Amino acid sequence: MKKSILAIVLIAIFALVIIVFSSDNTDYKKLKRALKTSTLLVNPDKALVNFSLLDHNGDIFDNARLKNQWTLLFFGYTHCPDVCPTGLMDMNQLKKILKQRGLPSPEVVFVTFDTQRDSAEVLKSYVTFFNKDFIGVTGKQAQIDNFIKPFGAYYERVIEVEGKQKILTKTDKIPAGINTYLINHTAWIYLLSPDGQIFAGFPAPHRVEKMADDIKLLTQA
Amino acid sequence: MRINGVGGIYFLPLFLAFIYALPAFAEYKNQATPSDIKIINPWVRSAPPTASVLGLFMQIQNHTPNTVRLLSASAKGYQRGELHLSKQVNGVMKMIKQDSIAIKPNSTTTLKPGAFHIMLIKPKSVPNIGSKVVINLVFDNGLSYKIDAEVKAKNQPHSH
Repeated sequence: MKKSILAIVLIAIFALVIIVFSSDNTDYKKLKRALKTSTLLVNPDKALVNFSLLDHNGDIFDNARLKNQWTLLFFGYTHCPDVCPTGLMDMNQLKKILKQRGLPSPEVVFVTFDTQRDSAEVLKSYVTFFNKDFIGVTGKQAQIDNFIKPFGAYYERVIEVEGKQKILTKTDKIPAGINTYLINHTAWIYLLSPDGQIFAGFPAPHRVEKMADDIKLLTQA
Repeated sequence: MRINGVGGIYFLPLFLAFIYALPAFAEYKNQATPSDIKIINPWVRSAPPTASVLGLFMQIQNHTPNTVRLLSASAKGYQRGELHLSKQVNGVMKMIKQDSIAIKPNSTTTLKPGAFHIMLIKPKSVPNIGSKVVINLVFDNGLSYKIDAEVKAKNQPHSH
């Protein structure tokens, strides 16, 4: 009898030690399991490097602008026929749901892949159409290309030659006589934490109700 | 009697005309009729005043036993319309231009954001929410439809 009590106590102590020493890890594991429509992207190896871009008012948009609040960040371009207006309308809807539920409303930032056509002015009239608080961000193409790396975002320009779609490489110039192009691109929405780092990502298609559920879990983790 | 006589006079040419017209009737029977295709809830997604392209969406019902193809779409006040498919390939959203959009026999094809859709390119001016855009759709069975699509500020036809 005494032996079995001792065994139970030992097992209990052992279990407690395991729980205490691995609590940090199990917290994220639990969170990961609870998430419905997002992926946890916390990764110190993929920290956002120092960047300096331009917002739609022509002001500097750098690391400091992502600090002290949650941010939802989306990449796209204003000539985008389907994916970007869908994403921006989704984010407007999402903000309404978060407000209704009394949850923190993240800043929404739309970063263009297309600096050639998307000036600060163009971006301003575009993003504020969806929500007056949305922020459009542009810059030099090399700066944007550098900024998107830790997100794992990707884009490619597509032109039409003799009725066929052709994908251009990064260094290709738009040929003379071609006056428009599309951009194929990844369409994740990213959640950035108040320390200005990538925290989670929502792949397309975006289900706003489920996104709001996940944002509650993520911002309260 | 007189009436019968008159009838007799007219009967032969009428009968001959009928016989003569029979192949035409048969042909008419094989031809598409407007009720073969129904366009349900056409709408244009509202866009910023500087937008270079707008999305046009709808459901297309095919009430015939044959596949019907939408060949083209055009709209008054737009440079041109193009048929497209938004498709995710290895995580990248691609805009794939379509020569046509098929509607299978006795079924419905839905044009919606993130799937098949019509791109209305280069508007003379971007229409306001609630206004109507006059659209012309051409199908491979020889039919074309003129429809009014309302401009709506939403992503899905049934969301508000």
